[in-house]
Amino acid sequence: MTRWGMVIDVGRCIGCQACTVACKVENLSPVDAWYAPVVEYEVGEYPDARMSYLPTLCNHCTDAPCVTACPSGALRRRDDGIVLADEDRCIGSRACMAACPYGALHLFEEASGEVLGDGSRGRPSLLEPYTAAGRIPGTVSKCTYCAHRIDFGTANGLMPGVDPLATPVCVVTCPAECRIFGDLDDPDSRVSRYTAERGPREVLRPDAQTGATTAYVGLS
Amino acid sequence: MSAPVTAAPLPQNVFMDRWVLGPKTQRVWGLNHAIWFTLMGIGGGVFLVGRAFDVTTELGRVLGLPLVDVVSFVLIAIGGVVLIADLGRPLQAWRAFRNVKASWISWGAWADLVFLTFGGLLMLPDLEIGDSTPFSGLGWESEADGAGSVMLVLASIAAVVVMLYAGAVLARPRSIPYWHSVAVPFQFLASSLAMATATVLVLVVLDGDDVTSGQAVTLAVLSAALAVSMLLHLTTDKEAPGKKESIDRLVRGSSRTTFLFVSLLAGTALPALLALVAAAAGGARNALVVVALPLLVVGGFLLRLDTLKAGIYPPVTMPSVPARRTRG
Amino acid sequence: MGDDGLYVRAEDGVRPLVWDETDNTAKPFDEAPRTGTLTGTYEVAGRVVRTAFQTLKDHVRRYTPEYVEEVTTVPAETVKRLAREFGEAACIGQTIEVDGVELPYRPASVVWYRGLSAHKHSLLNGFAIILLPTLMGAIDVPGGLLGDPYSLKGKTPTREYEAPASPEGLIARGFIGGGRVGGVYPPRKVRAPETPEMFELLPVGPYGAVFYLLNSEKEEKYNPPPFPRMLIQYHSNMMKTSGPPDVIERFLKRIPFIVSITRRFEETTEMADIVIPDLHYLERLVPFTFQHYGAGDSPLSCYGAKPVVPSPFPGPKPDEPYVDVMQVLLEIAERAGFLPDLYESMNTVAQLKGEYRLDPAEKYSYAEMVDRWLKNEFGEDHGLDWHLADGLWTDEKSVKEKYPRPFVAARAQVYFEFMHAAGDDVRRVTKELGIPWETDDYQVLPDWKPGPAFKHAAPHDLYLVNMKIPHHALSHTHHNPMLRSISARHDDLRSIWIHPETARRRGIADGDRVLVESAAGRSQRATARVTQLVHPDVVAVQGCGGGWAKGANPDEVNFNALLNLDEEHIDFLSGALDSVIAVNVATIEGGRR
Repeated sequence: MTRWGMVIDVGRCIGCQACTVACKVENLSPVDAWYAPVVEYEVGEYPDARMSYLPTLCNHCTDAPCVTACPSGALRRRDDGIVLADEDRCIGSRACMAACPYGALHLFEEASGEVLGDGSRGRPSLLEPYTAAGRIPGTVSKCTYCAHRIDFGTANGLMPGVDPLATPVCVVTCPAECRIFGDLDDPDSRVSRYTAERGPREVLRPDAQTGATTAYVGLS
Repeated sequence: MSAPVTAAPLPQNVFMDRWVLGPKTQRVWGLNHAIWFTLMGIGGGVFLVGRAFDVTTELGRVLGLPLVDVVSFVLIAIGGVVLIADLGRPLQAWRAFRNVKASWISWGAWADLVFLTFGGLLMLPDLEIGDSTPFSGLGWESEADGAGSVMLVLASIAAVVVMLYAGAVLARPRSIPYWHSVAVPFQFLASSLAMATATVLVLVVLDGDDVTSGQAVTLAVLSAALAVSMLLHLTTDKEAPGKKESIDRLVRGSSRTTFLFVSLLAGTALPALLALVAAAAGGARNALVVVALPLLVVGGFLLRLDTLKAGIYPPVTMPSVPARRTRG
Repeated sequence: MGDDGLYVRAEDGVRPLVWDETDNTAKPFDEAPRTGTLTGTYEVAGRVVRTAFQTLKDHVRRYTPEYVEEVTTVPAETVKRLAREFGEAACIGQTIEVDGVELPYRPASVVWYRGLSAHKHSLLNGFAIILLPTLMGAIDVPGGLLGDPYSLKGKTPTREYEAPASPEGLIARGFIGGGRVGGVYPPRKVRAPETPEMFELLPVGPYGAVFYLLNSEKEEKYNPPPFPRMLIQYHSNMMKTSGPPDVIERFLKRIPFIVSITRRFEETTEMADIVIPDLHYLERLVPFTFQHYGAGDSPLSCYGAKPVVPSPFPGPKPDEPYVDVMQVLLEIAERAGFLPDLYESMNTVAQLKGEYRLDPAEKYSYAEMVDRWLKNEFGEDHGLDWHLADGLWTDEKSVKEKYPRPFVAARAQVYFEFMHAAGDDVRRVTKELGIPWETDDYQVLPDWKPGPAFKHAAPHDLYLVNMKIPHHALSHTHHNPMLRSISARHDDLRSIWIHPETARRRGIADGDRVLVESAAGRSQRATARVTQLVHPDVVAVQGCGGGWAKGANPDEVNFNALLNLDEEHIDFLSGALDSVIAVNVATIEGGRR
């Protein structure tokens, strides 16, 4: 059985946000929605202080609280572990948004504007490709682990996590190679081997018991 | 290349505001939800309490229907309209019935439907249009017999779910520690029953009857149970990440006045006290119960609103050497 | 070297002598064994002489870790630890085999940028830092600083290997800083300035940009060449990139005619008389946007821009479906009657050969010119069609091209003797011109000298420094809505970083709006980010925001607006403008945002 998952080596992230931008371009996420933001945090005290970065995205949970919370069945977990939002089925209850401990679900609000450089909010051209792409206002969308790339790859004999065209774009884009993707059920996959060698494997909000398939090394 | 700058609301996903680690206060649910939580709570409760006190058929009628049930139906219907209007896609609201296996909102949708259906059918024989009662021959005349009793049981179960499910929606996921507790649905249930009890008792007073000592004691017990639950929830796991911030907000922060003083003290503890005094003091009993109603409703509404506002996610990770940034 | 600080040379007056221990004589470098004597004092032809390395050794003795601690506040113990770690990491004596070739293995490197070089005395800083990898033998070898571009001449596939050496036997190109401060040695001949930048007076400087501003401000003092009468500005925003905007504005206002070729309205474009709107790179045809023919162990590569999104300026012909500034310029050249000259220039600049040369008697479309250019570069199969369909050219380097230093016969310098003559040259010419010029830094070995902000009197006793934002490419990307949005989420362009203790003493809380004011009275508003990430004496600004053009945000901190453009802050050797400013930071009354 294939179960896609990602491990993020926090120590390797340089905070360049290339994944963040690549994801937005690849998935045309709504103006306010960034499916894969890199969060920053400071650690320590001067002179032993440093800036650390935490790349985030949907954790594609095995026991996904968003799937449980959704009243309309718009969220579902595929057999390969990818959690997808079906905008056609979404009624915009936002129960999934509140239920997700990671902030991985995003409402496409027509009234929203992009946060501009001055902290004010505007309505720039970024909105247009999103509506032009046929996305539905009032619905929720999320990171898909680039399921379209994975599905393209598996249909064409490519290996997700190895072949760039079959791998999530955030993984492919990262110049520091801090994201590793692959089949968690395959002990020889890149992701399994990386975790075995560099572990331990940690997840965000372990108290939430979500069974996240997005995991981290070097978190604590 | 520049964009026209227009005022626009913040995104509901608070994780998008600032990309720094830290507790984040949810913006998904707010005023609209507090309103429908409250209305549906009272509505479901009134249906049950009217029957528990066996006053449903005595307190006046509208179009032949018992006033208590009309109040119940109207409140739940308004709550439902608010709920639907708040959806991102109101016209797709029917899809909310789909995930009944897992989603408490689906359960709530079904409960609303079952309640309105069977509760409505139950009343239907009594409906008077002009001088006629077109549905009087439907085959059930009393809630006590055959089909009527089945419908009563179904409607009653649905009414309990209607009061409860909003709290369960909040409590089920572990994302927000303050919400993830049986205390939240319990408080919503207790608050609903207390508000409903007071409502029914005010209808009793308006009907010219006297509130009994037992009825006042019931109101006192429900209100006191709510107050105790609120206090317990505020004093348990006080240091847990996320919950600590929620409690800070409710007890010391921006919700201090509305939650601590208005909802807990004036809106819950005080009505409990008034009801207790009313139970003992026969002369002033009716007046005390009438005073308790608005206090309970305001308190119940603020309980829901402030609980929503205190929905705080802890940081997604806690570095072993904590971050020093204060802004989040 | 002798008492005068100059090399003792052979009879030809060119080749330096080295000491040969095998027979205790001084010989020209190319007649002595390569493993010459490093240290010692000797007698040559009746003169007492020392080796250059001995002089360096004596010179740096004064820079003890304790002294460094006094200047930098970095504890002496840390300095010692770093030195030890660097030396150990260099793995002196170890080798590694790469593609069957045994090479020195020196995994220790020093990389620097503006933090070191955008300062008064910056050339001396550069000399000091390059000594580290030089002494470790860690330049252009595996693990070391890869950067000297001297190894490749011309472009692949017709590239040639070249290892230039001066007559003195020293590596003669880009030896200092791995090409980052290229062209330092050998120094150029100094002559009377013909350019507004006065680059002719900077024999070892990498650029002279800032002098055109100083000259514009103080024409009588420096008597520069005639002031420019026209400026063509191409895809750049001088107002944001070159110095204090008010100084640049005064400069631009003096220029009678400005043409701006631009992709968007920017501060500089607003000063233009004629604006030629140009395409975004995703709309344009440019054969060589990126070329990596140079240093390092990554493959040689080259790619250009091509129109992949529709242009807002549709062209008149099917084969030229959009209007690019190149087409505009070609048409201007034709109308003005110098199109044939332009073709000849193109033949020269692009080194077009044979059938690909442009015939001045013919007329070519821009697309045809690009086609010829590409084929000339990469061969018949790699013309415009290939560019549009693919366009990425790569080629692996040989070991020699990746790691050239072991194959170079010429020697690296640890003693910068050429500075002596360069300084004399500058002093002579500036004296003739009758203009004041600083030449104290023309010295053969580096020293630390305090910059203008060092230990400034209170209240301007904080050092304002500038740093990059990881998700921006300098200020070039500040207009990009996506990156602006990310910036807003980190509040980077509006913030200054200040240490908690420093903030506390000044009554500043995290998130306060503050005024950053330089000793010279220049100021900017900012939001305080109170953070442990910064030295207590330092205030840091990220990027260079601000501006007033449409779409710019005046609320951001414009670092350049705090710079001082005067002699005290200009390095007269390198043309660098000092980018550490002595400032005070104070809350703005009622400034909580």
